[in-house]
Amino acid sequence: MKKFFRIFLFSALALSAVSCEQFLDINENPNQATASSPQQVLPNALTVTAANLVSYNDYGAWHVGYVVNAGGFGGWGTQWTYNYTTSTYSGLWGSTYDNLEDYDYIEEQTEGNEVLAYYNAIAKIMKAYNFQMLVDTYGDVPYTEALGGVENLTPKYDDAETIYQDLVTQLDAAISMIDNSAANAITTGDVMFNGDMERWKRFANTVKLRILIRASRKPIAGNSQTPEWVTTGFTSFGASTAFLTDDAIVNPGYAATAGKQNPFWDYYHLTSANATTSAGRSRIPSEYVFSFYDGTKIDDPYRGDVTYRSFPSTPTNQLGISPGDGEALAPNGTIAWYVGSGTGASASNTVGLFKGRTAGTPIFLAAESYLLQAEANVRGFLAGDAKTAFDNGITSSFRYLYKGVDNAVAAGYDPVGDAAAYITDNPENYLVNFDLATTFDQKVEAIITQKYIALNMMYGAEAWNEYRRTGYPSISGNIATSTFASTQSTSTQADRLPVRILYPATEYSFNPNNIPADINQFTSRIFWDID
Amino acid sequence: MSNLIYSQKQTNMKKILLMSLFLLSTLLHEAMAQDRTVTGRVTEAASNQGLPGVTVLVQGTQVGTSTDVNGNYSIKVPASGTTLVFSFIGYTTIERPVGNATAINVSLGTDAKALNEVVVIGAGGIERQVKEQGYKTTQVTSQELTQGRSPNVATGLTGKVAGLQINAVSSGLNPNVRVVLRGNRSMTGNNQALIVIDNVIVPSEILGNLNPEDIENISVLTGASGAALYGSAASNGAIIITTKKGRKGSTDVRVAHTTTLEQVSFSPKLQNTFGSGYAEGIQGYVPYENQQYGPAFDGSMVQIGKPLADGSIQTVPYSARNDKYDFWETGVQNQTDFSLSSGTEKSTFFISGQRYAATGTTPGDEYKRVALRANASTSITEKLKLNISTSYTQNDYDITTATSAVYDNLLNTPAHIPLLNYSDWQTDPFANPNGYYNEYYQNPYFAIDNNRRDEQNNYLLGNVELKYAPLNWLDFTYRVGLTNRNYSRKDWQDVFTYTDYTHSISASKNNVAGAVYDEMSYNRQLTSEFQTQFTKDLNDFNFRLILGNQTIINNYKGISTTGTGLVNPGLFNISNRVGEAVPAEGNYLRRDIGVYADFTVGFRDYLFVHATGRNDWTSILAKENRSFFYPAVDIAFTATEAIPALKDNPILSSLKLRGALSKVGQVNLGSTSSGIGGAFGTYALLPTFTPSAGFPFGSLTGYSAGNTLVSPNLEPEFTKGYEFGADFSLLNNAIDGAVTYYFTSTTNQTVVAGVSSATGYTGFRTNTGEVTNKGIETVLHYSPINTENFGLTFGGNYTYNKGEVVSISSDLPRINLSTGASGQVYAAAGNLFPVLIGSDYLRDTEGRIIVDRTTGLPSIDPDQKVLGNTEPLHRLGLNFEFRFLKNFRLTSLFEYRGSYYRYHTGGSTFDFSGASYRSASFNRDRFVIPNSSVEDADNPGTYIANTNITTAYGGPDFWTSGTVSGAASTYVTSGDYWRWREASLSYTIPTALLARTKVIKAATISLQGRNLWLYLPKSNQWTDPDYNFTDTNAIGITSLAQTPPTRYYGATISVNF
Repeated sequence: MKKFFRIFLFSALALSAVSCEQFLDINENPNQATASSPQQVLPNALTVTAANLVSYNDYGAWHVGYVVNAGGFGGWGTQWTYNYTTSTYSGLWGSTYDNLEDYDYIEEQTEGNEVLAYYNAIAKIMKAYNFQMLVDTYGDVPYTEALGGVENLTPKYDDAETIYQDLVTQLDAAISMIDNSAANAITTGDVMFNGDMERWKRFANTVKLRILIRASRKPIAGNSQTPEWVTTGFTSFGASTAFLTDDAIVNPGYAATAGKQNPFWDYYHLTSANATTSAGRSRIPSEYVFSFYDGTKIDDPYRGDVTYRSFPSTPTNQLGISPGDGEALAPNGTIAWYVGSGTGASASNTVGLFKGRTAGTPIFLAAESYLLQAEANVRGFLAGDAKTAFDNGITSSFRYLYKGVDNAVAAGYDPVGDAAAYITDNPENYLVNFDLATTFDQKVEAIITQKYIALNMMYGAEAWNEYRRTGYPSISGNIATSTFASTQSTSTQADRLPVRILYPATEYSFNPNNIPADINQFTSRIFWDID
Repeated sequence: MSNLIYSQKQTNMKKILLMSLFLLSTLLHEAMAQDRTVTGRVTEAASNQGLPGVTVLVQGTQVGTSTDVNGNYSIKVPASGTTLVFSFIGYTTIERPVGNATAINVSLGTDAKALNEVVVIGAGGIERQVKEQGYKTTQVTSQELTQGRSPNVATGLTGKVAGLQINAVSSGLNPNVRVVLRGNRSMTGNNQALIVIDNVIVPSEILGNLNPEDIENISVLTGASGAALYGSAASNGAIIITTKKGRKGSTDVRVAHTTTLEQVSFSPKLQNTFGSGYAEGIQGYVPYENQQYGPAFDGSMVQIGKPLADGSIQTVPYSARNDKYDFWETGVQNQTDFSLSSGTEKSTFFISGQRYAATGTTPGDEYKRVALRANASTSITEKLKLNISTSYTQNDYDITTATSAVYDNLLNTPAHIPLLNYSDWQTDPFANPNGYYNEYYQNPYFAIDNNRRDEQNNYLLGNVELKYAPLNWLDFTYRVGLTNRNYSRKDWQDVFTYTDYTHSISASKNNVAGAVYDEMSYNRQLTSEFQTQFTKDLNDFNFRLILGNQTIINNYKGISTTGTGLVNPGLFNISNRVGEAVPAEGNYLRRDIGVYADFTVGFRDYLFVHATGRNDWTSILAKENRSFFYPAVDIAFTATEAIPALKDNPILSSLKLRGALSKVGQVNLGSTSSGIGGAFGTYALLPTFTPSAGFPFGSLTGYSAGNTLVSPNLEPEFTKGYEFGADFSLLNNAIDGAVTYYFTSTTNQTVVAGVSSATGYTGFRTNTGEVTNKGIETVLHYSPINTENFGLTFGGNYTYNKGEVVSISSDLPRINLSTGASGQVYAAAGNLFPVLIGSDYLRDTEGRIIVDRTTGLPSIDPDQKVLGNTEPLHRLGLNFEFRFLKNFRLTSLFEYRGSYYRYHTGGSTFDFSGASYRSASFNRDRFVIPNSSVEDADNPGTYIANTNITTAYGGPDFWTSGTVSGAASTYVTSGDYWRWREASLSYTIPTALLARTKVIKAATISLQGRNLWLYLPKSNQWTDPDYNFTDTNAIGITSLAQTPPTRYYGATISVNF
């Protein structure tokens, strides 16, 4: 009996005391990494920023007529009526903050680390880039208390314009960091500029220019509503300040396999399994945007040919025209924006918008850089010749569209020559020939309209932002070629468009005390939209 | 088999004996009277079933025997014997004079007083008499469990136990079942009852893969008190299953077969007035349209679809058909059972086999299950006993993965379409995807055939128990149990390429690229338990102390591969894919150690005080938090034994009062798995980094910060609770019942709370919040008649449970338990738990829907609203049993659940397609929204009733608009129901008839039905409120993934040899 007792006690003691610790120390995660590094996070974060642009493009594209509904698809109620709910386009919010968290991680991990200062600078620049997209989409958003993790589970909303001001400060800090630190060069993982910090500086300056231009409000001749902080901001640009002269393109090494394709190709054209996507087949261009190519407003067979399939007989429609009312179907077996040959697995690499599965994703076009400069020139914010910038903008747009998957202008294409021909082909049109734009308004209209054309199907959100700020490209009435507003709009605005989307349902659920009250998609404007 | 030969010998011997008697009667009259054999059968009065194990003793002698499995006995009565005594624990003892009889049959009635003597197996495999238990235990017998012939143990328990809530969360083959006792305590953690089979804890999924026919008995411990010894999972109560064992001295072979049919019993309410069309206002007919907003049916001949390449086109009458209802097939289930049990003085064994094969109501769905069991016990020496229990279950699914898409396709089929003609899509050009009439939705038969899953599960359960009792006051038990699940699955979708002609006329018919997904995993649980028991009697007191140690190891490994896009059609191998395959891997290991003590003091057999304490150490918490202790105490007092005035009272037959207090810790870290597999709450303490989609790109690697924040100091959550109540019987046991009040409070909950994405994360894993549950469980049964030939028992159980979230935390007012649609399940402070929160229309102070002055249309309030609790407050089970004409038995079970709500997410599809009844309720005209108001133009901010402003549109633009169907409240209905859960009629073939066959000892034929009838309130046009889109805590949402509810009816024949 005693023997049994001893055995029991011994085994109980043995288990609970000595071996117990080792027996239980097994909670190390064999499945996922629990630590990482800025070097590992940067390529992922940049790739995700590029992928997120697909959603930003689509959201904007519906608003500005880059896309409308194609025949054979239904269920467009929300796109047609603008009767938004808190779930309409709600993915933008979460995916952007998720991406921002990664940049924030890089910034925190490299704070004060001289050797990794370039990472810190890049993180600051990309945060500014992404936060501007959030502000332009939602207005007031969490900023100072955002990305705090456990420290603040219900971050307060900051004033949109105050955020804008701080983004400029952050960009200045990043630029000065690049200029003044003795950091190690980035040799791998910079999937945008491959460690070229000079280009990062140009990118930072251009993002800053975009922020300042937007904050400068609507361009009105002789009556600027531009706040003082913006004017001051422009003065920080010097004569030697360099802006982007070529496209900022992210390419982590896109490949023809699941999850690795160019995200625009993957969403709008073909899946990795070579099936055409409904997103691409259910959308065709609006007659409105088409009018800038087919001669209705502008004659542009050059960019028309590389933008639209079978141009000029590409199927088009007007937003809100019901299925079966004789509206056009997407081109047989493919999409309206793919100009290459072959379908499915045999789809070829080509030029234009959907160049191929492995083409990079532009996150800032040189064309936009020049057209921002042109506006700054016209409004006197920057010294320089507006026409030169304007023409460079057009040529850059041609150049991007003429590039193949390898990011080089394809054989047989001449962007400079065709851009010149484009101007000669539209001799009477001030939207093309800047010399004919004699008034302030015409100049601004020409610049913003050319931006609208250059951003087509790449950055719908930016075109939508610029429309809301400037009212260009101009729309009127309800004829297909004269407006991109839906025929079934329920908007109370004169242009029959909404002025924003709503905050996502998750914010109403998890941050209800901070979310601004009474947001309405037809009346609650973003601060720079001052119609 | 030995018994069979034995009884044949007996019969032969009897014949010889009778002949001898006849011949020698005159000569040996005296001698005969001296030594006779008496045979007979002992039955249970309540059920008329044979009662095995009854002691039959010749009064005043040592001569005795016991009844066999069927209640039969045979005893040699010495000359001195005059009376036979039939006794069995829990039943009243009966004495019968022998006289000249050679056959004596008796029927034993239950003895409520003696019921307290019944030994039940409690926590830790410790046998405990009912009178000792200070907490509620409910026993379910094998007969009660299997009378409805449910192939699933859990569904067989539904409605039979107060405090036990069982939801089959979907239709289909072997649906998931959620088993919850006394409400949901944990907001996001596990709330399902602990499952114990033959004293060993097993994963809860085993319940659905156990052969119900193998079960001898189930004890349900509704509260944590009785279960605390099992460890932390016992905070949810426990279901303790004992499987059948062989019996000494009798051999029994049983063969049974059941065939059951399954039919759709409830169809959502659909309109049958309008056919194909999509346009607002005009109601034009569109031959290829899925939406049903076209002109009213008029019986004329119309074309459907677009012409085939050869120009042919279908023409059908434009009138509603029943195809949408008839699409669902009659499922057939066949279950064949075999068992053999036997035993000698020292050893017993039981072996069984079951084959179960079923086809579903969804065409093409099949399920097969084979279960084998071998149980044995042997006394190695007088003091050393060995018990072994093993089972193996294999199941196979051959089902479609497109159930929800198929239902969607079905709803998007206008009523005039001859849908049933389209099952042969391979050869019929109009059924083929190329020629299928519908421009936008697939032929459901094609979707079924082209999206398949082959799944196989193998469960091996084994446990060995060694009991050593060296002294009469001391014994040791060691048991080791293994549960192993091997899982393999292949999902595939075949390639389908449309013809060029189809592409040229149909924009939305996209080629199907095909896909293949393969997964294999194993899941293993190993438990080891050592127990020492000391007992001591001292005057009026008896003491019992149990010390124990338990170790549980859970181990999982799984690996899967996905290939998107197939090269060769029909070849579903991962090597036959386009591009790179996407692999995933998951490995999880958890270890738990517990030591416990259990101490009972009994006083004069009527007062018992029982205390337990357990300390656990778990590997899934940080070192400093991994150890936690929890105690429980209970008291039981049998008043009718203790108080002389109550003894032998003609009205109050017995009364036991009981009370219990407990605290149980549970570590509820939930699933942290990002890829595949069961996680056991492992690896939840550190945030993770994962590569985003696409990474690595060649040699370029990348990681992104995970989306879940983790509080640095996660601790166990604790459930503190008490219960008190009484078990009683009245009028000489004709009435018996029990009533229990309970309260539990679960604090320090481990939750992953949804947080604003602006934090950079979407979830936060932390300890916070408190949930309380309080309720009443009652049982009452009345048996006014109880004779050998007739018996009537009716009664029921009623449970009231109110679960509430008392608090979460100051900065987290609510936690979402689900994500996705416009209404979700939440834990929200100050609300019942769980609760639906979602979008609703803007309403005025009177609750009327505010509509626009000009458009007559409502708009959605961006603020989320509470739309209703999702667990029933009231649950009632009513049962009834009638025995008549000696051999017939009729049983019935009704169930009511009330005061809760369901959100039917499928509703918006019903409306979108125009299939819903409500979409036609205003004849597709503009209408005034009922109970609506408009802002008073003269007094802004005040609202007046809207009597005349009609909606700007009443067709598809209204019913498919986001501002209409986007309001979750539109599809929230009461979840109340009355259900005829079970009914059975059985006939036991009289033994006299069977005697002639010589081999058959007993035979029963029965008819039974389940879910026979479902009564729902008018507002619920959608589906069975038992259904849920998940078996997690996110209770309250139904979807199209659950096909319509079904009823089952079948017949069984069972023969014993």
